[in-house]
Amino acid sequence: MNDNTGHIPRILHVEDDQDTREITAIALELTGAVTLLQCTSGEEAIEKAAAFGPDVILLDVMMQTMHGPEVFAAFRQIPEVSDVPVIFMTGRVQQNEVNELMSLGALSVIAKPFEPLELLGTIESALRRAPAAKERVPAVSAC
Amino acid sequence: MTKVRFSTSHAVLIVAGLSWGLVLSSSGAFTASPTLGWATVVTSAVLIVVYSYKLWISEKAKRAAIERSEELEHMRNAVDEHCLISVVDQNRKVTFVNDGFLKATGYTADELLGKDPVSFQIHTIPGQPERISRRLKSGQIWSGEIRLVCKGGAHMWTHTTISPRFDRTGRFMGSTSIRTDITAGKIAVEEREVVSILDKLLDNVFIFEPDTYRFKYMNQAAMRRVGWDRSTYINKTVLDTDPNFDRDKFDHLVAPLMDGTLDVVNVRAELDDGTNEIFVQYIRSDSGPGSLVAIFRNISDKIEVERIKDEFISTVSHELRSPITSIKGALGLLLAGAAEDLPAKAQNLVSIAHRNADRLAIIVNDILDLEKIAAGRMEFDFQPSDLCSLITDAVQINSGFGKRFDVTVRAEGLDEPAYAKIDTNRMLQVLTNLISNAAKFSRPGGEVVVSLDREEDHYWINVRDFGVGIAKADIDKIFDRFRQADNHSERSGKGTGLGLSIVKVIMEQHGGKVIVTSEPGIGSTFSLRLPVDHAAYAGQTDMAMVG
Repeated sequence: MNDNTGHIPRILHVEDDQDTREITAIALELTGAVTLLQCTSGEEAIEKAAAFGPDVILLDVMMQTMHGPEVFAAFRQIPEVSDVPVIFMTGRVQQNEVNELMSLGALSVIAKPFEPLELLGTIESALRRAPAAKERVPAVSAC
Repeated sequence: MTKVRFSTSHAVLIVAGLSWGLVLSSSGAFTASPTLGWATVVTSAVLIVVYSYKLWISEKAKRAAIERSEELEHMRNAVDEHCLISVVDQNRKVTFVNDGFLKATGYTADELLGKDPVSFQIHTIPGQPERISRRLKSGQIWSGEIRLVCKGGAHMWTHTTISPRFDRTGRFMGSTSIRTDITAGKIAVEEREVVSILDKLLDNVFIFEPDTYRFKYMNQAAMRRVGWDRSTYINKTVLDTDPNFDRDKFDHLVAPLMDGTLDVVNVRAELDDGTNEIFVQYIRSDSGPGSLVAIFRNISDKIEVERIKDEFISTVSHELRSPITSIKGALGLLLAGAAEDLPAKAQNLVSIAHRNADRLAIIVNDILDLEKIAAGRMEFDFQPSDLCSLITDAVQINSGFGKRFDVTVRAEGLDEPAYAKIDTNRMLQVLTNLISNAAKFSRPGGEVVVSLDREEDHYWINVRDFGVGIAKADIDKIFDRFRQADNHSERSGKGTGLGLSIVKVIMEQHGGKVIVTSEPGIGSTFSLRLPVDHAAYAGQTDMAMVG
């Protein structure tokens, strides 16, 4: 992130569609330096989140086994991850649906289809608007 | 008992008799022989009495005959008034028709005399005329229903009795027909049948007077709905059907029917048995205030089908979003050089694919929008806003689009704030649609101008292009769904055909509208009308005074 600390953002991406994962990965890497962990389901993400120590979580809403909001609630129960900002990614973007997701405590909602080239910028500007995150000591990555 | 009138012949006879008696007596018949004299007198008297009596009887008979004749004449006139009478000869040619016949059928006597009645009768049963003739010739009366054709072609149902005539030798001389018009009765029977059908229809039928709303008729289904029977509804009005009946609303609903603006109005209502569509019509009458007719039709099934269809469309469209995202993403990344730099041809092809993935995404979004609109689920977040900011943003967002077509997009008339209550996202969607269309149909190097005009109570946002224009024939259909105007620009093709119908709905939801004016070869202007938010101005003025 452009915060002059030279800190490379750690992004946890939870998405069950493989193609979307690949595109997201390429887009993020193309537009900036990131450390990316991608998980194919909510269960896997819950398992690996704490050890990865993300700065921000990209959470797909419509997934096969656990929906985004459910995963979000689970993250809130994990101490190391409970205050990590979460950005929902969804195709459902009626105002009331967005409001619902925001009311859960998400940082932002990104609509699908998204502009891959703008993804990183969108994430960064959302983070800038967020209340300051406390210092986090990155755990050793298990990926 | 007929009165014997003392007529002249009586008087003459009596005077003559008395004279003769006097003559006799004075002539001395009595002197010759008193017996002879008296015999003569007595004989004369007897003759006079007998003769008088005969006279009296014949007078009486004459009187009676005259009276009977008068009675017959009277009856004849009555029959003449009431019945259609025609007489035919032995060759079945008309020899007489009464005035009643002529009046009822509209023919003149000349048109009927000498004709065979078959020429103005309709016989649906084959061979009927011959059967009737045979019966008549055998001395029997025929009676039945015969349909006549009147002058002018109208049909008249008659009940007909035909009596044969024979002369003294028993030879058949023809017949006399007496008919009464039973058309009205026939129609009444048919109408009763129709009412019976109406009565049993599944749809609810209510017929009531305008103004008073008093019921004239309710069919069985209607009676079941309200829980009344015939003797009850006759005394009720529409207002009695529901304790919460809103009279003003109903007056308002039927007003365009009464003043002729609309032929029928319809509303949907949620009732006990589900969703009903209610049609109301005003039927005029020559003899009275006419009737209002309301028909209730249960459309729960229809609505269910619509809902299933819309859900299906929505599900499919959502399914489409993921793959479209991936396609757009992959191609976009390719173009951005995520892989190696592409050779020119490959660059071009990938561009084409990317553009079309964009189109697909737009179409899917539009389909989902239309489905939301149809289901009444399109949500709007109206906030007081300054249209100048809106227009400035819209122009900026679409400047890239303009560049792609080598068209400049600029704004005009934004000198003063313009307050209106709008859903900014939706209005941006509208302006993007119009500006992109304008750019698409402009000539290279041309411009698109977005201007703001003010009226007392409305704003007009105009998106104007100087491009190919739209043909008159297409303008009427331009806001229809899935309609693409025929155009000959090579740059045509992009655009969903759904966009303008969504624009129309969004404007209507804002309390405004969209209109288009165009001249082929000169250009087009799409104009959006929005109501002024006067309250916002008041607020601003207050702030200005305070600030």
